Amino acid sequence: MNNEMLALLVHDIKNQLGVLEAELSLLEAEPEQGRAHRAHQHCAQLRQRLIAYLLLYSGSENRMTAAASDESPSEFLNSLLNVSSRPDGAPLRVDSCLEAPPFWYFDPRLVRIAMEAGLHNAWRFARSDVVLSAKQSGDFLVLSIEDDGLGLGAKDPSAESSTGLGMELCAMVAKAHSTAAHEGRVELTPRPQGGTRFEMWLP
Amino acid sequence: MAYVTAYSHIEALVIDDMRMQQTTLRGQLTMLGIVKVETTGSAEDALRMIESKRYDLILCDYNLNQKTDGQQLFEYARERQILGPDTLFFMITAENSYASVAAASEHMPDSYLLKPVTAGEIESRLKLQLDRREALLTIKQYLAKQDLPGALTACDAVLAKKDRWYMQALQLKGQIELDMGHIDVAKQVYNDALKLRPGLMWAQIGLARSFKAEGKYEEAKQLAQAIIGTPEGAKVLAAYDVLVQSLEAQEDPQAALDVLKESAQVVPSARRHRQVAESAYRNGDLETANASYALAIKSSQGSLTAQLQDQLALAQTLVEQNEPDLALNALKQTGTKNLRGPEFKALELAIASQAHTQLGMTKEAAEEADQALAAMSESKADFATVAVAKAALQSGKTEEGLKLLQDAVSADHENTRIKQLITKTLNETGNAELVDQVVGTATALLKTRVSDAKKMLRNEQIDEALKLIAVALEDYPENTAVLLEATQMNCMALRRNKRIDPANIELVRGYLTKLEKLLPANERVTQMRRYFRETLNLLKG
Repeated sequence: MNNEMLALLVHDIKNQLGVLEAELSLLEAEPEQGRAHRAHQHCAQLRQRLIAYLLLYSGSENRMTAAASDESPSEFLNSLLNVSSRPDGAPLRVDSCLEAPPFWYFDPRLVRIAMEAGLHNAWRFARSDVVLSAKQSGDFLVLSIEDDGLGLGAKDPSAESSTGLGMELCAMVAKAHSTAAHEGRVELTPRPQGGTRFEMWLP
Repeated sequence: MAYVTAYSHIEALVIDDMRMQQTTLRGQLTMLGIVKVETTGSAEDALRMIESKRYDLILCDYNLNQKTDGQQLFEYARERQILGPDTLFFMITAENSYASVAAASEHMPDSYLLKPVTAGEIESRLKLQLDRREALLTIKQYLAKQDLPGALTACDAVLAKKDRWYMQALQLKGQIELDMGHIDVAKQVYNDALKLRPGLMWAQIGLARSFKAEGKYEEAKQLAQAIIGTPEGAKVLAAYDVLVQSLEAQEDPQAALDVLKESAQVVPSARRHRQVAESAYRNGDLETANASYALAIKSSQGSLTAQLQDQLALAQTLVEQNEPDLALNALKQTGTKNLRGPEFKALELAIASQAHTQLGMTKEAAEEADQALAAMSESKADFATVAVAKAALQSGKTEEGLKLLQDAVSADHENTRIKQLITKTLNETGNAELVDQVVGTATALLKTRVSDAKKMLRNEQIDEALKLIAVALEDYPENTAVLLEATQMNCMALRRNKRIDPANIELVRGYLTKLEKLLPANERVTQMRRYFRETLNLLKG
């Protein structure tokens, strides 16, 4: 990881910690359950980010490798409904996954971290809906996250705390799943009915 | 807060040396409705608890802060079958790199969790493993009953659903076909799996094992080498094992030793060092044997995996390196171990006797040799018997020594490893000219007994034939060649008599179980198991 990126990272974590610190100092002055809950959630989100960064960091030294096992894509997406870093009230549902294969080989830990980063991205833009889905397309499993935000190019409502590292992480995870014949990749495309569609293509 | 959930019936054990962590994990299990939770901080206590009670779920910290880590504890319990087949074992680790530790280990736990662990994570792993168990339950039930055809049918039923468990069922099917001796079908299964997922590790290993099972050692060797040559396969112990077995079958013990050394670098466990040491010792590479026994002792010191044999084998190696003082010193190190049996006593005395011979203390040597001979309860085809024989030969008890060696050959006359040891001993004690006599005579005697019995069977003297082979087995109960013959002859007798004789069937089952223990993953045993199954099918006709 180069110095510029490292600086961005530290900057990002510093900002997040600043928010958490402010929340905690308010709580100290005036304990209140709801605010404690939100602070706890922010803490969980921050931890999730740190794990992702750690992965990125170790990934730059030696190539990130995926420990693939046979997983059920639809069960995997359903397990994302309970991610601990999901903010209160953040919309999320899984579609019917009718075109999903019954099993696919991927590293559930890595893909989970990537999809969590993708979800946080979607939640920043989404108005009222975020949908997860899975399908098979040729020799690839395509996991997708759709949001009903303003779409690509829209002004990021929380640009200050965003560094674009999430997408880079997702791309690395997808790439770690490359096989002799195919390379894993991510795609970000506008959704016809508005909003954005994020896809992870895993061979 | 406890409430009834799908997991309420689960009895769990938490193994963690940190009190705080024990409490946290217990709390998280309670959140899932699991209230029957016991905790312990030590590996030894954990083993006692696992032995005395069947837990459904075990959460174990990898870093137990003791001589035994979580992985060693798990492997020890699994190998000694202390762990119930239904017990789910989850490893908890702070190491992101544990995945590679697990992938390179002898046994993999059912799942592993990265710290900090949340209740949600435990639940999702638990649900996955319970679903998996449920989906494969029928197969496992047939396997537990040793009903391989039943297990195959159950596999096909799961495969027909083409659901999430397809590959798991395919993997089981490959192994079952292989165990049944249906090598061609097994290969087809593995090739199918590789078509679905190129490079799939278990399918490649299965294919290599299939080649070995049909005696195509060169193909098995090449495939195993190719697997080890890939980044994913470089740490897969199963590939090294196939390679070692193929090289031994091709009668290239030196190359097998080299591969064993590589595998001990991949996983530097006491067991791997021990394997290297044993192979090096048989090959006369005493320096390597010495170094590897020392490593085995060092890496298992104070741990569950420590074995008195390592210390004794090191002492025997030192004697042969003409280091009698060091050997006697090594024997002293065994003093505090409490796992003493008569065979250890005999071996200890035999080593002391050899060392004293080298030091010119012939009186002590002779006394110890006498005591060693007296302590031998029965001669087996093993290291201790050969060492006692050597002590006897060196202190002038030629007759007793040769008799022991002859008995060791008879105990398992087609065991090439024991013949290698005996030949070595005769050469080193100045009895090279007796190799043919000792090894040859004992082998010939048993071969005659076996062929006499077979002749009777051919002459329709069925009962007499079975009696003769049974007597041979009484004399040498662990002789694998005689066991194989006895199995085959009893099956032939069943076929000729054309009726189900429960006593004979029970006898054959016993022989096969013993053979599988003495010769694990052996193709001849597999074939015999198949012949027995076909015999039963004929009788049920």
